[in-house]
Amino acid sequence: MKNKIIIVLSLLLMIVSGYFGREWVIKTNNTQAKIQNSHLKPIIFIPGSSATIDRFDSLISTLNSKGTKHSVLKVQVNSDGHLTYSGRIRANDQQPFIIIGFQNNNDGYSNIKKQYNWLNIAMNSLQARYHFRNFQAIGHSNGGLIWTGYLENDYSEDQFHMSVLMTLGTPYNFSEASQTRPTVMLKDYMESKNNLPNSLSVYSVAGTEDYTDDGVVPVQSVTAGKYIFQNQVKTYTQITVSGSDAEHSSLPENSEVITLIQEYLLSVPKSGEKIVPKKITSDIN
Amino acid sequence: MINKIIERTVKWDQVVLKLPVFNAIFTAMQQTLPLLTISVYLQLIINLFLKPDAFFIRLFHLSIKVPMLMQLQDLSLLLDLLVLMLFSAIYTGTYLSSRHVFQTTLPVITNFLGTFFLLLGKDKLLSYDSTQYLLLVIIVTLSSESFVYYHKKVSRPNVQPFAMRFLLWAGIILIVNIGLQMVSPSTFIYQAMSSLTANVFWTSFLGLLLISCLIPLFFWLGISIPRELVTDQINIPAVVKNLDVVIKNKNGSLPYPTNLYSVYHAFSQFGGIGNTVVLSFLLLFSVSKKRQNLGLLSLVPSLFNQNQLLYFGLPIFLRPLMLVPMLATSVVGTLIGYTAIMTHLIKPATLVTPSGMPNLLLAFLGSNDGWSLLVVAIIFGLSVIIYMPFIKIQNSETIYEK
Repeated sequence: MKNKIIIVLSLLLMIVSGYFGREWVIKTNNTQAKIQNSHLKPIIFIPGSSATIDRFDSLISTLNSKGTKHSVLKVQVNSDGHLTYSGRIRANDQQPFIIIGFQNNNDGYSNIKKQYNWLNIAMNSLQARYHFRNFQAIGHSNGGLIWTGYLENDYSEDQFHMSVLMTLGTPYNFSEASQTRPTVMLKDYMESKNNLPNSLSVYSVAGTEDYTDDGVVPVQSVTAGKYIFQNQVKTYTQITVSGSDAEHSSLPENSEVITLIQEYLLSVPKSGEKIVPKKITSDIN
Repeated sequence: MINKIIERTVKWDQVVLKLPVFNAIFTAMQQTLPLLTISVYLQLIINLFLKPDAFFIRLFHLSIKVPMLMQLQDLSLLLDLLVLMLFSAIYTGTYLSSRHVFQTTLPVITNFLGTFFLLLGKDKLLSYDSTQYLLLVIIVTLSSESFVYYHKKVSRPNVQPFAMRFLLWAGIILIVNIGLQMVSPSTFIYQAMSSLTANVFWTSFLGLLLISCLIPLFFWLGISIPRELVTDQINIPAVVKNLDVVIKNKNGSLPYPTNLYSVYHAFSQFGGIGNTVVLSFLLLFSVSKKRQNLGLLSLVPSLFNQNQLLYFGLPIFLRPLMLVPMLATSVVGTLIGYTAIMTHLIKPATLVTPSGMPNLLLAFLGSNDGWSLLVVAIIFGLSVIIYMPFIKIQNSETIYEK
């Protein structure tokens, strides 16, 4: 009798697992199908330290005034991991702009570590809501460090495909002007560079006011990105912009930077066509 | 023919049971069973209810943040290690007694600690996989045998068991274990074996037949098996390519309809390698109370593909009586599964299923095809028929315990 009860209970456990398991499998695989077949390819922006989700408003209105209008979605990640959404993605917009900001937007390596973990929460949530797999990314200042940390520690090529990362004035060696003195963060990023996706194209944009820095970040700190990306990703390109609006905080509004975004992220090249940036001074490594 | 195979297996089994080495191994496994039970159930609770991707958490879309989960997982890993340390210690004591060495305290402690140093690598990870029982047995046997030799050479009347000369032996053994841990080749071997599983050969009839023989054999021998062959088969390239096709076009033709996931995993691993969930059910009807308890204890873990309690309790490890039915059920499951898929009687499992799910459900959930359940039921029934005579022989050995 005891054995009969055990067998019946085991059978019941299998039936319950099978019933709910079937629901899970159908739902999960339908979601996967939506993600895989999605044509949505957003451009995701992350502002630098101390900046809010409104940091790119001026850049976005300039970009939208020059061509196709892109819808804008803003996501604020609160310190408890809770997300606040504002704006919306238009139904037929295949390349919306998504801005991810953090409630704790302080500077410092320990905060950057927290921020790339929060970024992971936001990315998972965005994928669950909008079912996209492909995307491009822009990070201003420490925003570039957050993307790099995310790529090395949380990003999975099974889940996402980031084709382009553009960093604007990103201090890969913080405020250290000499590349012979790597900071702890640069060392960590160099150590984990093997985790970077090899299908990624990276454009690192540096601004110069006086040949040495953009008023805040030394050019050498920006170019130290080569120690992380070079020979790890598909292409790594270092670009230097100068002239008016080349100072650190003005980089997102710099006309040359806007041209770069239009050329590298917004336009789709015809097959075999190579895009060459126009009207800019560039050092291509 | 079948009777002859059974007779031969029984004879072979009896020869093995009479050997002192095997006797010591089986005694150590039996005595380690209570601690192993705690370890297995803790791991099961973590995998089914506590981890963020735990089976029931995913199934019921729960969002539970378990405090101290990391510490609990560390504890589970430590228990796993402690089981092996205890096994080494008991095995050493029993083995040395059979070799007429009676001052066993020092070698027992040495091999207990030696196992700790051998298995505990950097970052609290087991440097060798904890299923490397054969390697552990070889190392502990060599260490014990060296003690027997050393004991005969240096022992004088009235010498203290912890005399400097014996401590020197203990020091050398511990250094050897640390050295072995440092040169652990497991990562290299694992990577090589993992990349081997990516070969399309394992999607062919011959490849699948070979794997259905090799995996139970390796498991029986106590040789670690790549994770892709036991749990993570969804990541094998052939399975990923099938999934790509299914996701992009539900009616597309699959590049690899028969593969490790859709055939071997779905039809030859009910309750773990060798369809051993059948054993748990059969043991419930055993005459011996001890066997009944083993059946009861191992049933829930077996339903969720964890057969370590049977591995230690029966035991399965190096026991000829268990090898033959394990190989037979594994091959029969694979043959029937392969034929059913190739004749389009059932759809192959291609979809992603929740981790920790009972393998009994894989063929059905992975294909969403109800006919798969019929094939699973047939293989389950045949596995009962295959295991039954061997379990009856085991029961007759232990009938006096009633």
